[in-house]
Order: sequence, then C-alpha cells, then structure tokens
Amino acid sequence: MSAARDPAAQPVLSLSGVSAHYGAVEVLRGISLDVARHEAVAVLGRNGVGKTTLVHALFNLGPSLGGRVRVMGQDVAGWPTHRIARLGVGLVPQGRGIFPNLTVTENLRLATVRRRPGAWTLDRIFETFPRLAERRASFSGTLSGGERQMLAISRALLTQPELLVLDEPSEGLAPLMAEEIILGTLGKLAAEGLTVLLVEQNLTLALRLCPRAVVLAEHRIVFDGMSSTLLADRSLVSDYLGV
Amino acid sequence: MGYALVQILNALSFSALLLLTGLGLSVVLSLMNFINLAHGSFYLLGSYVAVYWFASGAPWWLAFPMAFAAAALAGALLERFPFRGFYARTHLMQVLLTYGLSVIFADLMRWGFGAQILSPELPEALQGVVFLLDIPFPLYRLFIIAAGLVLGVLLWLLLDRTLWGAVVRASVSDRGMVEALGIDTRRVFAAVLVLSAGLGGISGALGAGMLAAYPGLDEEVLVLALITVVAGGLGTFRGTVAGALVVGFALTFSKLWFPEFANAAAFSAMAALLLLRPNGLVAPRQRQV
Ligand SMILES: Nc1ncnc2c1ncn2[C@@H]1O[C@H](COP(=O)(O)OP(=O)(O)OP(=O)(O)O)[C@@H](O)[C@H]1O
Ligand SMILES: [Mg+2]
Repeated sequence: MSAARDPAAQPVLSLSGVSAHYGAVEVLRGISLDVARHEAVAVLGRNGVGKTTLVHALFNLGPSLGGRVRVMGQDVAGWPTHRIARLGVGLVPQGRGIFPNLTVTENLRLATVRRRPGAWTLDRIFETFPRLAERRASFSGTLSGGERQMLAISRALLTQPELLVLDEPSEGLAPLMAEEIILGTLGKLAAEGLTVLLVEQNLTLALRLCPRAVVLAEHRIVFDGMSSTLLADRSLVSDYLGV
Repeated sequence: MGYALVQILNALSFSALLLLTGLGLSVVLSLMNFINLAHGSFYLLGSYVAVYWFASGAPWWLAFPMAFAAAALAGALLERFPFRGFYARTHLMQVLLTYGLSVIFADLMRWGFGAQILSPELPEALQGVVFLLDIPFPLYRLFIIAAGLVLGVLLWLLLDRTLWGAVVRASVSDRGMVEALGIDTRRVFAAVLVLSAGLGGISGALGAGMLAAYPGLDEEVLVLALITVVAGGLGTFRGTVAGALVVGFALTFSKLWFPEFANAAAFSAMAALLLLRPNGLVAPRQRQV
C-alpha cells in the first residue's frame, strides 16, 4: 500500500483554501490546515475572528463556503452534517449544545442511535464521569456549567470519533474546572490517541495540552507551528491574541 | 345531573377528536416550523375511508389502521414533494402552498366520494346507547373518548419515553447538533410528517361516526384544530390537550346555551382567551414538543 493511499497516513482533517462569508461579510479567507492522526492542535484567536465559523465549515453547519474540506480523506463539499459526523468527527460546540429538555441519559443515548462500533459505552462514560452517573435522570438544563461540559464531551465521545473538535470548552467555567476538563479529561483522551482540534481563548491551558497551535487573525492563519515557538514570540501573542 | 353528565361526555368526545387532529398539526409546527393547512384533508380522507370500510363488511376495527395508513401514505408522498422544499420558507409561503393543496384535495375528494353527506353504518359492536343516570348516550361517543385517551397516551409515551421521541425533542431545540451526532434529521422530519398525517386520518375515521363526512368538513375541522393549537399554546403537548378541552367544551356548551350563535359565542370566547393569554393556556418555556 502506498503512503498516499494508506488511511493511517492521511490527515484526518485537511482544509485547503477555505473561505467563508455571511452575506457580503467575509470571515475566513484562504484557510489551509492539515491535522494528522493523533495530533492535538489548538486554534487560537480573538473574539469574533472566525473560530466558530471554521468549526462550522468543517461540519457544513455554517454559511456558504469556498475551498475544499477533506475529512478522513473524503471531500465533504455539500455533504449534510450527519454524513460528515459519521466519518468519525465528534463535536463539542461553543455553548455546549446540550439538549436542555432531555435528561442526561437521553442526551447520551442520542449519540448511540447510529451504533458506530467503538470503545465508548454508556457504562464507561459513567465510570469516567461519576458526576454524570449521579445526575443521569435529571434534565440536562438543570446541570452546572462543568457538568454540562462533561455531558457535551461524553456525548461526542459516544459517537466514537477519531477526531474530536471542541469550541471553547473552558468558556464560562471556573478556572479549576476548566483546568480539570482541558488538562485532565482531554489530556487523557489525547494521550490515548484521540485526535483533538481545540478552539480556545484560554491560551495557557490550550498550549499546555496541544503541542501545535494555529492562530487566526484578519480572516486567515497567521501562525501555524509549535506551541513553544508561539509562546516564545511575545509580539505575535500580543498582536494577535491580545495577552 | 344526568343531563350535565351527558353534555360533558359530548364535549369530551369532541375534545378527543380535536386533540388527535390538533396534535398532528402542533408537532409539525413545533418541530419543523411548518404550517400545514392541508391537515384537514387528511382528516376528511380518514372519514371517507371509514365510511367505505364500515360498509364493506371487512372487520370493522381495521377501519382505523386503514385510515391511518391511507392518510400516512398521502403524507409521505406530499412530504417528498412539495412539503420538503417549504420547511425553510416563510409561513406565508407555506400557507399559500398548503391552502392551495387543500383546495385541490377537496375537489378530488368531492369527485371521488361525491358531494352528499355520508354517515357511516356503524359496526354493531359500537351501535346503540348506554344509559347514564337514566339518560341515553351513544356508545360510539364513549368509544371516541376512550380511543382519544389511548392514542393520546401512546403518542405521549412515544414522544416522551422513547429514544425516537428524544431525537424529535432534541431536533426541536437544536437541529444542527442532532445532525452533528450523525442523525439524519431530514428523515426524522419526514417521519414526523407521516405520523401527523396518519393521526389526522385516524381522527377522521373516529369522527365519521359523529360528524359524518362531507365536502367542507375538512376546512371546518382544520379551523377548529388551528384554534385548538393556538389556544393551547403553540407546540406544547400539554397545551394541545388543554386547547382541545377548552374548544371542545366551549363549542358543545355554546350550542346548548346559545343555539343560534353557537359559533360566534365559542369563537369570541377563544378571542378573549387569546387577548388575555397571548401565548395560549400553556405557554411554552422554550420551543418543545
Ligand atoms: N450568523 C451570522 N450572521 C452574520 N455574521 C455572523 C454570524 N455568525 C457570526 N458572524 C460574524 O462572523 C464573525 C466570526 O464569528 P465567529 O462566531 O466565527 O467568531 P469566533 O472567533 O468564534 O468568536 P468567539 O470567540 O466570540 O466565539 C464575527 O464577526 C461575527 O460577528
Ligand atoms: Mg466562537
């Protein structure tokens, strides 16, 4: 098998020349980004720079797109979102996207409707997050911010993803909880080989988890490299991330 | 006493029909944000199926699944074309489309089933009266109440207690997220529309023994079902139950008390209710089924 055909050697996610706009308002222009299997990549950028738009682009959830998006080696242009998700991409959206009028268990079981084979089961989720097990029968609208985030991540895991995309999971969480979720939970998942694309505003946490970082500014990618390189570049950090 | 009881049961049997018809409208409205003014046609189709089925000599109780199936099939075909293309359009466009279709269906049914009033020959098991506190009451109306209750509970269990129901409820609150879990929500929408049409058909079959079947009944039922859904609070299950009871009782008792202005009295009461509670009796806290 040649390297090009070998699925394990292919990037799980590959954007080339992706642009996106809402009506006449341009948000992304010429974004190119490859994510290899087992990588953990942080996507950073100021408020409103287009990080969520980028996430929506790869799920075809957003506005009109240009360029090419490949997921697991397949060109997904025009695919409905559910077909893209079935390739093995899990989403933890900004604001968590839990279904408040469903119980915790119902939220989780929705992810198992498709019955993709994989290592994650409801039992394993409840072992990993005992807090969710305690609240399994509660309506998820009554959960705390941290519990909601655990639920959103668990639900994504139950779709048995190879690539997990998270959009600002630390938003609105107490610092300890944010650290627990990003370094604890996601750290463990990444160490087990899950590919992670982490959109964050919390620079420190994101860069401690992800060896590689991508910085969005002015509609495009202005940095793509080692997290340590980014941290060392004071001017880049202050110009584009405002910290 | 007995007289009051009989009138209450009359109102309840009417409410049961409104409930089943209204639920079909309401679930499609809350899930898909789709206004289906052809819903009355599903009802009338179900009525005609029942009239002919009861006359055919085949086991009578099969009339109800048959009416459900006939309307559901019509719903499935309409869902593919043209409803599906209108889910994302404005309500005005949906109203124009589905009202136009309902006029076409009314003509088709008049052509197929005739313009006269058809009252079904009720099966023997459901004929006759029972005496309630010495006052005779048609057995068939008790059957309607029981059927409305059973189907209402089944539907509630389906939406509230099954995984499929959870998918529907989740799609109401965040369709994109349901898709991101790998679920094809277009199929969910299609299934809900088919279920809604089937419910319309089965309520028509039940109602035939009480309201008969004739051209124009489709619109009468549609208007009442719309009022039921709006009075109850758009798109909540409990609201539709409340709306069906209010409309059923208001119409039954206004016919009793003001026979000449029954409709005027009942609809003024509805208008007053909506002025007092613009969101209906059971206001949705969020969009839900
Ligand atoms: N539905 C929409 N219609 C029009 N403009 C939009 C829409 N959604 C987002 N935008 C605009 O597109 C730009 C990018 O938005 P996006 O949500 O992708 O940013 P973000 O980087 O995720 O921001 P945040 O850090 O606040 O989540 C913003 O300027 C925003 O105002
Ligand atoms: Mg965002």
